[in-house]
Order: sequence, then C-alpha cells, then structure tokens
Amino acid sequence: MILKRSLLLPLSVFLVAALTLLVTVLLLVPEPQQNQSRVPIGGPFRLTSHEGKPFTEADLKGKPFAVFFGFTHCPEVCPTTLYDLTQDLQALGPDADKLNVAFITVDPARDTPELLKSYLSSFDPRIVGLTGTEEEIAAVAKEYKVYFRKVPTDGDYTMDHTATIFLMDSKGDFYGTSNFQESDEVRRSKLQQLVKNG
Amino acid sequence: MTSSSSAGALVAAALLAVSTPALAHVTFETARAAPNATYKGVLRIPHGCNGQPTLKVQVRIPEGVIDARPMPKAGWTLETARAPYAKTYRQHGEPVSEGVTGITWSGSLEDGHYDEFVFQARITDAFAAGSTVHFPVVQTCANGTEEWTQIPAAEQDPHSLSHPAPGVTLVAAPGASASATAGSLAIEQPWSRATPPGAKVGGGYLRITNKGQEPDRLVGGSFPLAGRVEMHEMSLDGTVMRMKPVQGGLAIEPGRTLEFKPGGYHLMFMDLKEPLRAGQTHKGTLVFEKAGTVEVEYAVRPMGAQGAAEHKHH
Repeated sequence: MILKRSLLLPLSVFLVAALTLLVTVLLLVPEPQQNQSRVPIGGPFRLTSHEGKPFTEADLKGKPFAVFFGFTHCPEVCPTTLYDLTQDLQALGPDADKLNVAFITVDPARDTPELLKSYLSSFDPRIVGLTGTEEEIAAVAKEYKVYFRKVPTDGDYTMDHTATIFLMDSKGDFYGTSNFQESDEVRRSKLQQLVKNG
Repeated sequence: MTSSSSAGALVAAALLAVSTPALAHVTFETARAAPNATYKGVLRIPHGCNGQPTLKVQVRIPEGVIDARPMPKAGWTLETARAPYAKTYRQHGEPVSEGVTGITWSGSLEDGHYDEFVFQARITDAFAAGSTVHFPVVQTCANGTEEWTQIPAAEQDPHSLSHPAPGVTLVAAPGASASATAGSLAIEQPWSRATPPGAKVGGGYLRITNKGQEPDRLVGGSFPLAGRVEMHEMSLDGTVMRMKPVQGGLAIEPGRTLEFKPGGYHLMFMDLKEPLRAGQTHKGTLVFEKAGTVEVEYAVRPMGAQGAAEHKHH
C-alpha cells in the first residue's frame, strides 16, 4: 500500500507524458506518411480538347475527375466504357456536375479533335475528349502509368491499352480505379464516394 | 316485353350472321414468322362451300417463297406444280431458280368438319420484316369454289375483305436474330452493336456449332457497311486490353462451338462507311473452307448491349 501510494504520483506523471508523446506522434507522423503513400498516378499534361482548345490538368482539377484512355477504332471496351460513364452521370443526377470526366486517346494519329467531337456526340456532353501530338499523349500516358501499343492488322493497326478508369480527387491526386468489368452498382458507388470525398 | 326481347334476339342473330363469316376464313394457325427463315404453314379449313363438302384445297406459293414442301395427308392425294421463279434466290449458298409454286390436296372434307393442311417453305429476304406474305387458297367443291385470294392493299384492313388470302406477317424478334445453317454448321444469333458517329469499326458476334463429322474453318466474311471483316481476339491481361488479329482463320472441330462474344473472339467490321444503329439488321456473309459462303443477318443491338438479347427478354 505504502509502496503503491508513493508510486502513484510518478506513475501518473509518466502516463501523462507517455500519452502526450503518443498524441504528438500520431499528429506528426501521418503527414509525412501520407506524402510517402501518395500513389504516383496522374500529373500535369498539355493536350487539345475535342473542341480544338488547349486543355491541361488544371481544367480538370477543382472537382474530382475520372480519366479513361482509349481510341475510337476500338470495337468494344471504349464505347462500352463511355456508354457506362454516360449512364453513371445520368444516375448521379445533380452530383454529376461535381465531377469531370475525360477520355484521352492513345491513337492521336487517327483521333483528331473533329473525330473525337463527332464520336463523343453519342455520349454525355460532359465527357471531354482529349488528343494531342504523339509526344503529348506519350507524356500523359506516362503520368498515369498507362500502357499502349500499336498492333498491326492487315495493312492497318489496332491498339493494346490499359482499360482502367482512373478516379482522381479535386487536387489531381489518385483516389482509386474502376473498369468496364465492374458492375454498374460498384462503379456508381465509387463515383458517388469520389464526388463526396474526393 | 315480349316484342322487345324478340327484337333483341333479332339483333343478336343479325350480329351473329355478320360476324360468322369473319370467323370462318381460311387462315394459318401461326400468322407470324421470322424473316428469311423456314416457315411451317398449317392451313385451317373451317367449312365447305355453301354447305357442300370440300374436294380440293389448292395453295399458291408466292414469288419470294422457295423450297415449298407439302405434308402428305392420309386419305388425300397430293400434287405439286413446279415452275421457274421470277428471280434467282440462294439456298445454302447455292442458286435456286425454280421450285414448287402450287400445292393441291384432293380428297373429301364434310362441310360440318374441320381439317388442317400443312406445308413448309422458306420465306426469303425478298420480304422484309414487317411485311405480310399472302398464300392464296382455293377451296373446290362439287358445285363451285371458295376463293381465298384477296390481298389487301397497302393501308387496307384485311378484315374488311370477304375472302382474304391467308397471310403471314414477318416479325423480327429483337435479339432473337435469324439463325442460319450451312451443311452441318449451325450459326446462331448474329448480332452487332450500335456505333458512335465517326467510329470506323464495329464488332460482330455469333455462335457457330459444327454438327457434322468433319472439321471446318472460318476463313473470312463480309459486311455491307464495312470495307472488310477481320477476326480478332480480345483479352484482358491484368488491366491491359489486348487485341490480336487471328491469322489463317479459326477451326471448328466436329461437335464443337466457336463463339464470338464480347471479351473474346469477335468479328471486326473494318472501315465502317456509316454508323450502325440499334434496331437495324444487316446481312453479311461468313466464308468457310468447306461450307463455302453463308449468309448471316446481324441484328444491331443498343450501345450498352453485351449479348444478342437482354437476359430479361430471353
């Protein structure tokens, strides 16, 4: 008893100190940790919109955004993904205006702004089509870690390409991904979360 | 009271008299058929001519309907008339320029009895979906005939005719697109997907089953709105969508099914001249090493479609 009583003060001092230290550590450490864990996907780019105007990452930032890479000579994944995103934007209702959506071609030789404009007329008008020079497309693909490659066919070519939908927050940082294989429900709940938290 | 109820009975009798002939026309049991497909016609003869027994039933096969085959009937003799067609049609990839143009069953059917007369025939693509094919029928009795040969004009209601020819309306079931057979190959549910304006490619999907004993090989095809048709294989490699042109065609072993579907093999309609629109049908061909050139009809499904038909419709 005597021993315990004599230890009570130093023990409580120690506990308070330890607690203070722990809180300090918890407050300080997440900052550098967050920076370290930032996924290096996305970044600055300089492209041309389907309206023929210069378009950079600054035009997407300010709202969370979704980016999808594809090409118009694409029989399936690209129109299907654009169709899905069109349905998603309708389903999101007013929330859809809190989101930007961009379709970046990996086939700039064929996908001119004019072609993108007519192609995108089938989809939600809020989806912006982006093209550029070979170098500009290679640069933005590198920022997003997107793979693309020409595959020769009989006297022509098609493309291999990453079919991921990148979900980015309003600061242009990576938030998550989706793709054409996910169900409408899953993809939409991801987009809803992105609108809310991104 | 007595007079009014007898007047009512008179009106009812008059209505019955008016409505009875409409119910007693010669008609087909199934008045709908798939376009460009074989149709089984079951003609229903509900009565004789003015109380006399029917001794003869004659059907005229109209131009555009080929390969007519009547079903023999016990107690009735069967005759067919053959004649050249006005046009040449294709059946199993072969030209067909003549065939059965008339069928006659001879026997006896009491006025108070009912009977059915059956034939099958291929209604060619000379008739578009939505149109009606009329098969004029003449019923012959000992004294006189009943001629079911009236064909309604474009906007005319067939119910307004006293003796309409039995008709079959061609209905393209959405999604349940026409099937084709070529020798031992069964080709099912060819479909494509609407394309955005400016798109230069479209996808073609179908199923080919080899029901024979010999292997065959799909080596090519054609599509009316495309510069050419290629076969590609799509695969998802991690997050990368890969496209691989198929070289040298695709073999179909006996008993096996080759399926072109989203996410796998697909036919690529290259250099599209105009967008494909939902609801359209387009005829193309498939070329096989052994079965030769086979006509197929693609139903164009909406842009989000993943199959020949929505699951809810079957």
